[in-house]
Amino acid sequence: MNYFAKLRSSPKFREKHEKTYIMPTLYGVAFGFICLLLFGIGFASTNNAVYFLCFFMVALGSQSLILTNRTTDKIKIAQSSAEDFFADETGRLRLALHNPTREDLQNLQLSLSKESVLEVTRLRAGERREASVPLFMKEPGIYKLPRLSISSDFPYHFSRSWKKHQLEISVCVFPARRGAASFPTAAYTSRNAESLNLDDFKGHRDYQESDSPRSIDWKVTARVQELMVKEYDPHSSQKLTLRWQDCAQTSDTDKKSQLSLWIDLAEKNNFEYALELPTRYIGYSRGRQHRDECLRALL
Amino acid sequence: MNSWRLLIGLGIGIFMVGLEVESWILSVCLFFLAWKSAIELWHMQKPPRWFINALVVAFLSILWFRYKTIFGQDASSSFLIILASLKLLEERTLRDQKFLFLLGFVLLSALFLFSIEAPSLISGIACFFFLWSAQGREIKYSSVFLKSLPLALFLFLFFPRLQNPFGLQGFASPQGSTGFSDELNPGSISRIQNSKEVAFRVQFVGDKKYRPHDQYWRGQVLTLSEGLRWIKPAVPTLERVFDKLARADYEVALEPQGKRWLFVWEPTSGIQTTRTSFVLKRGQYYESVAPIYERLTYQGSIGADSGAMAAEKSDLQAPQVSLRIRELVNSFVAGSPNREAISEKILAYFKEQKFTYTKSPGTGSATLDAFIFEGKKGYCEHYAATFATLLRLAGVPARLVTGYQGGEYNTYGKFWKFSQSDAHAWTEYLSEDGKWLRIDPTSAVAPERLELGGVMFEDLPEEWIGQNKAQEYLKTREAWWIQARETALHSIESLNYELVLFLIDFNLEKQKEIFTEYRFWVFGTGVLLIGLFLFQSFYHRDRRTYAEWLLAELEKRAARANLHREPSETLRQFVNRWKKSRPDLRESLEKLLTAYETSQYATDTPKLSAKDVRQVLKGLK
Repeated sequence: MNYFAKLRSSPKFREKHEKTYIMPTLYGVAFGFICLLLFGIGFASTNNAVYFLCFFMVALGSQSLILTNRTTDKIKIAQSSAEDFFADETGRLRLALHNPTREDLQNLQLSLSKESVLEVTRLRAGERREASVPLFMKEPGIYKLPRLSISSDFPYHFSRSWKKHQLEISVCVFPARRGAASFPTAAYTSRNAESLNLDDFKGHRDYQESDSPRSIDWKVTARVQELMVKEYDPHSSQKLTLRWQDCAQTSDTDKKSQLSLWIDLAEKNNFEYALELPTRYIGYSRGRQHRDECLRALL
Repeated sequence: MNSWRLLIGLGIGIFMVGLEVESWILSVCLFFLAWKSAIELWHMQKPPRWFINALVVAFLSILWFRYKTIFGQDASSSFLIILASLKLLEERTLRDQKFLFLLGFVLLSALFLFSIEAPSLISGIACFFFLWSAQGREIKYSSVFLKSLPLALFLFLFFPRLQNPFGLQGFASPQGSTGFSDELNPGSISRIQNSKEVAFRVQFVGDKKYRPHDQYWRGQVLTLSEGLRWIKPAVPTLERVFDKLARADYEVALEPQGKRWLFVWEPTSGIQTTRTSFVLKRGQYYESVAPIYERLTYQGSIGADSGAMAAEKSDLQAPQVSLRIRELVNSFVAGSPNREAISEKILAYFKEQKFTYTKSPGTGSATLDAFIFEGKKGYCEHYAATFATLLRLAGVPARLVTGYQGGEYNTYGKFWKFSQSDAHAWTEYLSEDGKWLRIDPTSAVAPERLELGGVMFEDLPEEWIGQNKAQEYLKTREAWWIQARETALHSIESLNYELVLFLIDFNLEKQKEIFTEYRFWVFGTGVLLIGLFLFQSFYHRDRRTYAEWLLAELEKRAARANLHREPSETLRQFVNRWKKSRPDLRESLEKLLTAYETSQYATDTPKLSAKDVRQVLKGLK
């Protein structure tokens, strides 16, 4: 039994058993009706030219069905991953698409929900491409991503074929980053934040909505075709304590949003920071792992 | 969707169907098409929807008043093309375009209901192509069309053509097109002769050569004379059982006419067809039980079919005539030993009195008296009607036959074509030995009509008529041009005929016949077509480059060893990883890596041949 359960959960087994379904669209139904009408006319008038027209249209319709089904059936999702993101912002489900066939696949739609849709116009024969599906969440929390729907109505929109791809990905949506952009005075434990030394370039990272547009490195952005910002290492031993009670807001949700913003800013500016919540304390540290731990504590 | 392609596709369909309906409807549609083109060209404002809706209602009302229905072929086709052109005019959204796209196919079927001849089929193909290609450029149409063709052919050849069990006459117009009516008046044949429309085509079995003047194709027999006007009274049907013909000497492909005439060669002993029931009428002519609204093929057997038929009282019926005519008839009868002599005297009278054959006899030949004594100008119906009436007045049983005479022989297709220009009337009288004999009085005044056939004769200048110099005329430059034109048309006509004959003839009977006779070939063709369809649908040409193919092959083989390339990993990094796990493949992998890199990055360096690469790939186990 265990063996079968293990087998079923293996990616290869899942990929093999992703069934592709196909249904005619309203337009396809109308097309079928016209074929039927032509058949009726051909039959009533025993007109072979009308018969041939009808049969040719039926053959074209069949070709269309085969192509539509094939387009959805053949595309492969080689890899998938999603980064945690803040509520009210756009996250990304990153996908590695692969067209293992000898022909181009066209007009594909990858979607998680009505809003989270990615249109792929053309994936060339044998091509591998990274693509991302936008993710939208209003409420913070940990979400298991639903199955990815891959569909297509290529080439004539007579039918739509689709299949569901199991993602097995959970994504953490942190409280929305809102509130005052400056840290409260009580948070500082040593030097003033204004004296930060931003001279040492650390690297580039993706632009986030809380970043100032001034921080965008346009040259790099132009090169990689994604908004990128520069990160600096201030060599700072600056320490911050971000406290629940220092938030000026009254509601818990707003306080969480404020702390979320401060944690993000502290991390971006390479502060060493601690988080003090009514029920939990996370000590001084910095780095991606520490940031995520702090943000998760707010959920 | 591509608006221009949609406009062109629908424009072709609208124009072709428009040619078959009343000309004012085509003019209206062309106006709307021009308006639409102007909108597309100069980005003019589209008319509001209420205006279009009002126009639809207005045209629908006009058509209703004109035809009293909208379900007949003419009425529904007229409405269809008006609707299509108005919808084109108001087209705004993708939904409108999709509607028009689908409407285009209904328009095409309407076109094929009117005609399945080459011009209609060619314009139909063009219309179909433009309509289909209006859907966008995402896929090659030629490739999809080619892939669909085998299945379409398979269905066309193998789908049983069941007979219509409800006896519907399709959507054909009950009025029919051109053709004879049940009576003959002065001018009724000349009106038909103005049209060059095809009446029927004939293919003879065997190598026997025929000439235009041999070709008399009997349609109907008129027996009630009113002078120049002849009427067909209710004619009794002859009791006759029509067995399958022992041999067929000719096959006729008859165009729809809305009447019941089945034209047969004179003399014909019997006909056969699976497409309609027919009867033999007194007067030795065939009639279909139902009016013929669709193309029809039938076979005939040449042979004397008891020309002997006793005269009836009605064969001597004659109208009241003037004293002058009575005296003239008496002069013919006086001293004539037999009926043949009387007929010869009448023919001689036509010649002596300088009767002429003209395309415009005028009002001077409107009555029997006026024609014989004053006008002396007329068409074949004048001569045939006068001749038969005079014979009856002389006591000779006579009758009038209408049909086609002449025709054009197509040397490419080896068939005869009879157009409306070949419409003709002639006379029969009962000889003393009880046989009905054919006399064509037109030959006395215009022998060229018989020698040249209707189409050539139509182009013959009036001054040549009656001169008996047809052969000389054929040597003139004018005649040479006409012949050259006809010869050029014959090759197209021949193809057209073969196509039309196939399209008409391919019915359930034909399918059964083919399936029985050529069982092996039919089975083979079916399997081949289906195989071709499946192959084309599921086989796809490898469009990958050499490097892409090699990369895919390497990844496939690595996957068997449970090694997967990361998206961020280059092939060199991946191969290095692979080499570490399988040192025994080091040499082969290095070769393949070099082949890949050479192909991908150093296109000018000779690459490892595909054969060698395959050999090395085989070793990766």
